[in-house]
Amino acid sequence: MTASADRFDAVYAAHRPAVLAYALRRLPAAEADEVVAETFVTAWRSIERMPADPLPWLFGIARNVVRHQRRAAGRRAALSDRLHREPAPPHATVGGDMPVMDALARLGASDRELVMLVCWEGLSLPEAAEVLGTTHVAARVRLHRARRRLAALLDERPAGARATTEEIA
Amino acid sequence: MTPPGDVLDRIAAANPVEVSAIPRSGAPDAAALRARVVPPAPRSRGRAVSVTLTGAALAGAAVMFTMALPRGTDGPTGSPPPGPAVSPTTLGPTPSAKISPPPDAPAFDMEILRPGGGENALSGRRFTNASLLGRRTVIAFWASWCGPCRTDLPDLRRIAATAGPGTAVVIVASMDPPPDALAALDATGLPVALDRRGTALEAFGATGLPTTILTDTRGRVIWKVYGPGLEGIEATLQTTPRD
Repeated sequence: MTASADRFDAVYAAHRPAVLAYALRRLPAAEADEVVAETFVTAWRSIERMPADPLPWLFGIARNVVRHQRRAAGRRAALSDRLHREPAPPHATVGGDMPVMDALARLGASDRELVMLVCWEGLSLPEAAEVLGTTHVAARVRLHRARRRLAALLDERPAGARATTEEIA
Repeated sequence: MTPPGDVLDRIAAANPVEVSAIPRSGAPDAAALRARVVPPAPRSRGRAVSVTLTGAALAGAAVMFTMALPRGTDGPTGSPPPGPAVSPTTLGPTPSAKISPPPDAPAFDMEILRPGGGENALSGRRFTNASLLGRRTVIAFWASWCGPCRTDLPDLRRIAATAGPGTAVVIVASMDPPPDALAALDATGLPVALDRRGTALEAFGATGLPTTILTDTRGRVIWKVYGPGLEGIEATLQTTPRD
């Protein structure tokens, strides 16, 4: 086996769970496995460009694959006008903190992705900036604004609505 | 007022998927994923090879394109022309190819994992070019780890059930461990051959899975589909003689 294949196999073993978790947070479980496979197939095609720390790079590929899947799923299901107008909310909200999920879903798509990369994927701000193809400084400003926006969204929820949601959860 | 600094902690705590809870087995292994990418052949073999490479590149793009499209849309395999013409995703779709006799299938020799039964049954121990003679054969290069392949399975079963006498549907487990393939195909009852390293798949000029081939009663390739969707195969079967 070649050195490239050895390296690919090691990266796959080390990072498949993280890439699968990334996909599961954004798509139904039935589609997440295919996102993982497509992400690593793409990574193998570009193995010579894989950086020393490959996880942000893999998330960048996975992000494109997820967007591709969503577009395809949107065509298949002929999504309603309502869904076209609203950004896709994060997946797997069952049992989660519903007010937080609702607030996340009301962020812009790029800001939501940034928050999810930092809070759920555990990336540092420079790594998240790399995934999003932006600068560290721009990502820091966007995260700061996103935090303020999230805080405002969580505060504006009626107390009764939150209590009801928590009872359901 | 919620302090902005606390917001990210609350979001982190709402994480719906824990990496540590994800099982580390049960996924296709890395070698299977690497095998999905068939390296291109050398380009120094003259014009004929050049045409093949061009076709392969188009086919590769078509696979990606087709996999992203819903079935029944205007994708390369979604609305094929009627009759046994060469499909847009067929290798070598040059004008001369459309008026030439169909090309013989490339030489192949595969182990039979399961012969199947009834009209579809394979005889002997090997699935070879000789197995194609005397009946129309749908050869489906397939793998259990390939999602689009699984979407084709109900159509393959339907074709096997409805195409009638003189037609065989053979699944070729390509780059798939035999136990995985047989377990996934157990309920189909279709014959299964093994292309362990994908050499037969490559010989047919394919660059990925699924790839489905239709041969006539003389063992000549009359249709190829790269990616999911078998409408072209079904349309061609209706116009291809059974003997």
